[in-house]
Amino acid sequence: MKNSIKVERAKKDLTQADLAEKVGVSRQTINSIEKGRFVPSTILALKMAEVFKTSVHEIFSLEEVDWQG
Amino acid sequence: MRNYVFHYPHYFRYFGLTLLVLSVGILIYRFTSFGIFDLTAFCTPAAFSMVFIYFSKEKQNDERVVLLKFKALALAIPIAGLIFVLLDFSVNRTGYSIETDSWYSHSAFEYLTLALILAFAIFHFLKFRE
Repeated sequence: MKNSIKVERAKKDLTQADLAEKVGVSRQTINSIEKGRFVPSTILALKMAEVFKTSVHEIFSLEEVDWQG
Repeated sequence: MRNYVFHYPHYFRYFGLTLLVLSVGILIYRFTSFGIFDLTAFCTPAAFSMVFIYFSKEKQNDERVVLLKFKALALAIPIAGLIFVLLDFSVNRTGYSIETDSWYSHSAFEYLTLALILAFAIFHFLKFRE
């Protein structure tokens, strides 16, 4: 799964720590999500979309490998 | 909606640490007073201490921490099992013990203590690595 969290953060001038505080997780969690090492829950993804004032689809997109088992 | 697996509040970790220190104290006392390396006496309170330490909430307790703790447990449980199977095999391959009238084996508390110590170490390694 790809994401554009870093780009969205830059648009809103937010650091990883700022975003983490707003959505209620640790900075390391935001870092892991950005690097694609951790897939956020639906609630966390929705919270991020809310903070960035955009939709979940604008932030996260599926890749071919996500469709495989 | 927050519904995390790890039930004990964060301060239970300090209660667990106190119990662990007590366990080490018991081990040292048994060794210095009676010359016995009493692993059972150590592991019985140590197992409970590790339960409190491992299953208490982290300071920053989010869904990634829950996942990493689960991953660490999933790795630690079979590794601890394998260690004890190999240990038991290495002792028991000499044969049935006439003195104790039994095969040598480890207690559940010893297994639980090792499994949770391993899980704790693996969790922190995964947290650092990821």
